[in-house]
Amino acid sequence: MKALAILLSSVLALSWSPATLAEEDGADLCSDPGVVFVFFNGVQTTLRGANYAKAEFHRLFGETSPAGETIKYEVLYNYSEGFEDFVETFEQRLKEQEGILEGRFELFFEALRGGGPWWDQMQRVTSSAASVLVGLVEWYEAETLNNLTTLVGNPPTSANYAEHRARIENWTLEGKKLLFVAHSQGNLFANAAYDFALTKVSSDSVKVVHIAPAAPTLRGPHTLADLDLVINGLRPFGTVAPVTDSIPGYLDRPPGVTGHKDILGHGLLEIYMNEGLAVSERVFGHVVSALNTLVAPEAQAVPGFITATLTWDGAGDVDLHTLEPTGAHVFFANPAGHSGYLDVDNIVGLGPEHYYASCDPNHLRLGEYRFAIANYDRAEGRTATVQIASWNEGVLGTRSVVLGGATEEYPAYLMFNVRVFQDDTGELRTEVW
Amino acid sequence: MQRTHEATKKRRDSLPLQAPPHIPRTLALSVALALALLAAACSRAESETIEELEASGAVPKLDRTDSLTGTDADQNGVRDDIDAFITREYPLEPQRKAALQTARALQKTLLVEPGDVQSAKAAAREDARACNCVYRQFPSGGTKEAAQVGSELESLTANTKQRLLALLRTSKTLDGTSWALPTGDTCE
Repeated sequence: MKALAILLSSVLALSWSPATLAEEDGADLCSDPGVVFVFFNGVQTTLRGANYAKAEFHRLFGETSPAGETIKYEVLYNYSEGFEDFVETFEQRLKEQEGILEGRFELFFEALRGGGPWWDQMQRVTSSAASVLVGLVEWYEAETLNNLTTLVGNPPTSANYAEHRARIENWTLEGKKLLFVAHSQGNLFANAAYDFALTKVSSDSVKVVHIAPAAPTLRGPHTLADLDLVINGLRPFGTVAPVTDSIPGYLDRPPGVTGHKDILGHGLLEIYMNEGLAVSERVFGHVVSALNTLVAPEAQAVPGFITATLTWDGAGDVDLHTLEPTGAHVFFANPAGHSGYLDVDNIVGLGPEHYYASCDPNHLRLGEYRFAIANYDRAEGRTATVQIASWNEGVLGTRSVVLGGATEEYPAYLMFNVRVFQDDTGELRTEVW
Repeated sequence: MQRTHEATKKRRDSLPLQAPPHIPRTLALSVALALALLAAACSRAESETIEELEASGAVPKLDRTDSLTGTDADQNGVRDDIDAFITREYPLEPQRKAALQTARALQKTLLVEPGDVQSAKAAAREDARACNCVYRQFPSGGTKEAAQVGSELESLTANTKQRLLALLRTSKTLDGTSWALPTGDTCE
């Protein structure tokens, strides 16, 4: 079997063009974050909303921790089930009042916040716009409460969030301090993530900051506004954290950075990160306090320009194989390649195994990397998961496979192809398939 | 770090720790409704129409054709109506280019096949790069906050039922995934 693996490696090497990276004065290609600021988004957040929330945290807390470490901002994203159903109701509501607003879906996101500049303009020319809007907001509040209550009753499971767990596994392996900041229903996911992280590191190395928590239990300090109609609306259905702050009524609130106020008093950027509202100071204080007290866990692996992390769900010996652009085959029997290293190997069970491609421009090779796995022994029927990440863009992909019989050194499962290339501006980028 | 724990503690000490009585939602919303209606009635210009608002630029005049991508005559990856909005709103070249990059990234999110996680992740990363660029070009306290630029462009992109549903489908495909905010100059 070992001979087959070497043969495969040789054949692949022959079929690839030799690839080199332009020399760059020995500068490090990556910035190694000591702290990962992990955002768990709230209810009804689109991918764009998640990106802008991260960017707002970055704007407010910067790239350097009190200890002088680089902070990296990532999202562990969740989608609100039933969000798309809101579109149908929105369409129906727009048809009311003689249909003057019919088909104007650009008003959708403003409507979820209780209005905005475009709704204001509509109200200038038609009084019916105001009643349509209020009808929408009342309906939206009720539906959001309904969806949140359902989620609280059926919290997320590990099976649904394998990518989140694999990412946490990678962070703890590389010795990162972890700050989990969760808004709204994201708190349910943050709690699960925190409990999982504690199986890897101590509570000194991972902290949670809860914002408007929809979760009945907490893992850290929280902030909740008295006029948050969404979270306080959950009280009749179960345990809700106590109110910590008062906020002004809707008409007296300054808009947040989105230009909106949020009539429901629940928005992350409109309420809890609104620097014009005192409630934001509590959130910021919790974040700063956590950053000041986090302790780095012991690193077991080295971060890289790209990394691959392999885990599996039980005993047995599963192996990570990397075929580098030069044809070098990196695995337990040959842990040092031309571009990177297999720096964590596991022969007992669960994993992890970890490969990193160097951030040193003198070592990193451009071209295609192939990541494959093998059931070396005793892992038949196990689910094995490989996650590929880049230092700057986070997780590029996560895939799982149920392993068949042992193949020893032969990597029977090709999991990912990753191309490292230089774009028109000279920036090193990655592409995965 | 731009914030100090001391400043925050001072503020926190001055905040009430006990919750004031919760105001029933129906009352809060009813008050808001009444005031909104009053405000609308007071400022209403009955002679104006929505079409006139569009013509004046008070609200954007948008492409409502059936396709996801709409009309893009110059094939720059941005719908022509959004192109026109950006040109009007952002005369400064770096800001205009950042807004165009965002609009292009958002448009790509509409074209992800449902359930295609790898394509959805690529779209999310591209939007994150554009977002990072917008924050570089729209510093806080300027004519418009970066967050407002992003939310406006999302609303413009998702201006029909078909487009809005496509945008939400891509977000749904990303459920349970993770990605980072890139650092450095990600402007195109």
